[in-house]
Amino acid sequence: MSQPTNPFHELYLTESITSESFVKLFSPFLVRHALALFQPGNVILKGLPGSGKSMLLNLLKPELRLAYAKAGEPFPVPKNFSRFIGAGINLNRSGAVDFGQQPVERDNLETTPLYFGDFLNYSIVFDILQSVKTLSKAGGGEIAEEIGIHFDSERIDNFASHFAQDDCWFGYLDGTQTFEELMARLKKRVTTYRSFLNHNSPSLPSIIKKTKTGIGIPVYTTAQYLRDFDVIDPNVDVFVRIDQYEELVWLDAAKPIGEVFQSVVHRLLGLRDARVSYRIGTRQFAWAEKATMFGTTAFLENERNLKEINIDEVLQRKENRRTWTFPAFAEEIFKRRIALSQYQSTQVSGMTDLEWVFGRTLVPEKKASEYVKTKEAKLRVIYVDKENEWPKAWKRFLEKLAEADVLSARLGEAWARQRNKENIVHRIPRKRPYVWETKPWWRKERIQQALMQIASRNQQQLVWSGVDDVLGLSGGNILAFLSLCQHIWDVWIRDSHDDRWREPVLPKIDVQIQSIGIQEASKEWYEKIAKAEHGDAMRQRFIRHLGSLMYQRLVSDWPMSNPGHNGFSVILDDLDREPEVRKFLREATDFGDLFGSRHTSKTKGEKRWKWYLNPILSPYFNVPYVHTKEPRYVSITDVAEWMENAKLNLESTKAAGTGKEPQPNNGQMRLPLEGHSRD
Amino acid sequence: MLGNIFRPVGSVQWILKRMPGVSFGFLGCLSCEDRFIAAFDEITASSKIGVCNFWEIIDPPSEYSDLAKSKRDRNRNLLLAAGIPSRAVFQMELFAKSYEIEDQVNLFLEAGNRNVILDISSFPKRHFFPLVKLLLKSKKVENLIVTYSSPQSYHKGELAESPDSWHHLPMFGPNSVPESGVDFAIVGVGFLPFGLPDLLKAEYRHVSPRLFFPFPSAPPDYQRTWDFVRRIEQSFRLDSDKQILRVNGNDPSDAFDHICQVSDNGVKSLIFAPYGPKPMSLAMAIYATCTGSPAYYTQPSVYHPDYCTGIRTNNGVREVHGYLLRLKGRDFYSIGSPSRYT
Repeated sequence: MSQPTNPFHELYLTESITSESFVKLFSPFLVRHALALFQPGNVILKGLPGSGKSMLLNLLKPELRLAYAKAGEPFPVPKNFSRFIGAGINLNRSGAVDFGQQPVERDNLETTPLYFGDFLNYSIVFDILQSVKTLSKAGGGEIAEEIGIHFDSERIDNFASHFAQDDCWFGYLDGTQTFEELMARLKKRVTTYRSFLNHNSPSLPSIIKKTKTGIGIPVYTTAQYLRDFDVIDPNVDVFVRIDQYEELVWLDAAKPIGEVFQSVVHRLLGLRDARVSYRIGTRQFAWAEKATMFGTTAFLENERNLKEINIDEVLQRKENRRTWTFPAFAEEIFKRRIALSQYQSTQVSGMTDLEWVFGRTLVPEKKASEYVKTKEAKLRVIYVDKENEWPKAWKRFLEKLAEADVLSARLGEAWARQRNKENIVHRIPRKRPYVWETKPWWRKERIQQALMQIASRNQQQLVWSGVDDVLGLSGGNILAFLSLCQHIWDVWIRDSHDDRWREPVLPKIDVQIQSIGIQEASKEWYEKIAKAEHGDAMRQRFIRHLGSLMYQRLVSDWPMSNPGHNGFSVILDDLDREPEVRKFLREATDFGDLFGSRHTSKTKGEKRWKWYLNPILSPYFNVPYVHTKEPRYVSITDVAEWMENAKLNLESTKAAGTGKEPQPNNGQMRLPLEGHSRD
Repeated sequence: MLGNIFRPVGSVQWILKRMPGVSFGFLGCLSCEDRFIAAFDEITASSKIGVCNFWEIIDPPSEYSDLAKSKRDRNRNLLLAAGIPSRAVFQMELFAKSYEIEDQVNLFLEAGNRNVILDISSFPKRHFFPLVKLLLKSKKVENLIVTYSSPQSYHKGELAESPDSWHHLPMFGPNSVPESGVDFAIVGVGFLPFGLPDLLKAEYRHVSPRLFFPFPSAPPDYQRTWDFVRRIEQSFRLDSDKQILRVNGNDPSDAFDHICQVSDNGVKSLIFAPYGPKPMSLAMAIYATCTGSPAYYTQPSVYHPDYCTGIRTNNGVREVHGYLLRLKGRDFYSIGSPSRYT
């Protein structure tokens, strides 16, 4: 075997990966949770960056359909849903977003969305026809037959000549006789736009200005003609992807042309024409709360105009572990990566590759022993010196216990510090199990905090390893999972000696190696908050402040009364009064820095929302990722203060932080997090 | 690098001495940096400047806004002291629209500036790329010199923050739809990759990257540029040393020749990721203007007010470089036949 390689070197499985690799690496796991993607009707596919949206949407691309056929692999979409033509437009790469940079009619800016819409129409129609052509040619016609495409030259030229005369084109395509001619003229229109947008030509030809098409109309007209001329069977669906929809939000905050362009896209969906269905992949909150449609006062309505699929809801852990689907998905992905690598699967019965490589997560007692090796270290775990009111016998008891079992000693010390439990110091238990060991829930809720304190009191970093930690830290995000695997594998390769990888066997990776890899991955994710695409140093500063705050609170909570303070909870009504705080928290949630979900309050009838750090950031801040007991109840002023402390320049946070009258609601809608519970 | 074509590259004084009696219009950037005025000072010492424009580029609000403003105000006073009228300074947003940039350039040229000096020292790439394109495309411009002043040192911490999405620079988007196949991605190696490795891989995984490594380079810059390469290599396996090309970071002519070599004189299709030194990026801007190649960047929203300080000197002489792009209507930078600007 040559140099060991990292099966997780390629993190992304997006549109640019080779089709052949995609076929081997793609896990059909998510398909059954997103079957609506392959059925008529508009679909908004929501999810955090790296949740697998692109991976799913790629299945609509003709190239992948062909790749599956070429590889002799069954297409991972059920047969009854696989008769479709997929096409689309990437708003960023196509340059569609440039219409805000270079208006066509400077003295009449209101026409800009119309040109944007016209550009979309021509680009999408071109791509639909290109897809039909691509699917018809490949695989000796088998795929065309399977889908229901009939692409003989006489038929398509007849289609083209009639289609070009349709009123939707306002005469621009008049005179077109053949399919190739049609494609050339569609392309020329788009290229002319591009030339103008790149300032290569000073203006658009008047023929374009005179023949602007109605938003979306040529698209469904295309589908209609394809069916009418029997180029595709009547029951073949046409699905159109709109990629990078969320980029429109970033176009210009000051002059919000992006919102107008979004309303043009919404208009496409609002046409509710069964001939064509649209698919949009987006982050949770990049999709407008009230999606207005260009040229109307109407909004898009969920279930009426579109259906939403939220991948995060499918994959993030619920309270009941048995309903958590992510482990099976991750295991499948892991298995496929290994199968495509130089390593041979172990085929050990009853054990998955994932379990083989990472093993079980250390039991808490073992973890504790990793942090304290010497007698002095063990004694540092309990704080008894300053407790003058504690009897010497109790102190001696704890010291002795610490030497034998540091974890139990730390829990025992905390027990004695809790309200109504202080008497334990005078009634020292004589034999095990001690009272704090006999309360399984009390113990379970405090184990992670106790381990954190043991590590902290000995200036140790927390140890992270094993399948449970890797899956838990992934937070239901497949990119996070792959990133953790990548870093762990990298550290293993760095640590490997010649004799370790002479044979291509799947390694069992040592706990310490895993822990270092996990720390590295966590650091990278923390740095990405500010440095990745759409990175934000303000968000990073806030997360740093919050992470440090959580660490301090958990470490200094000697009685361990609040083990759930690695999260915080805010009243929804308070958030409504502070739109900037709400907006900020929403953005941090949208980019996956924070995980938010509905919170059932201790107070009856009170509506709250709670947030935790993205689990993968936990190692960086040395705080537990497990959510236990109640999060910290904070006021909106507290959050505003954190934002101020993190040097966030938001006007309303200053008002909230200084007790001044907060800004009015300005008719803002309620927190959009409502209705998207991840509990 | 001489090659087959002589392109005047040297100190700005050396170039100006060869153009006696020419009066120039000057286009510079009022920034927080000390070097923003160096080229202007050098030029006015020996040549006549007619119309003069300084663009004050305003970053979006951040924690540095107040400090940045006070530094710009200090520098504005330097301009006033140098006799530049306040009306010669225009405010422009960092994320200005491309038409706003074009309008300002047109106004500048309409003021009769046929001989133009563009000082790119303090201009962000988002501005100087379109400026180079517009000036090269303009038939009104007879002589065009680009100047660049090297700073004494760069800020040791984060130089810039909060990158925008991977997007083409204004006026440098793809021309064909769907985007035609790309053969090579030319990456200027700088200090801040800003997610470039992931983006390159996600968008152009099949494209072979060529890293233009600024050389020679002195520590600590040297370590930062190698760290940039290391980050690319972490997620984008570089097949061989051939993919890292040592290019003179102060010589756009050298960079331009390397680009032509990679593209086989325009035969191969390129995209640019200008993360390296500005003179290297200048070569990319010129080539991309000639060929319509796209140039992509993750534009930071915020630059540190102490991005760089001072002006580098060599034997007591300030390093203000001059690059002659056009002389009496003749372009020095072209691929194959001259004047292929589209």
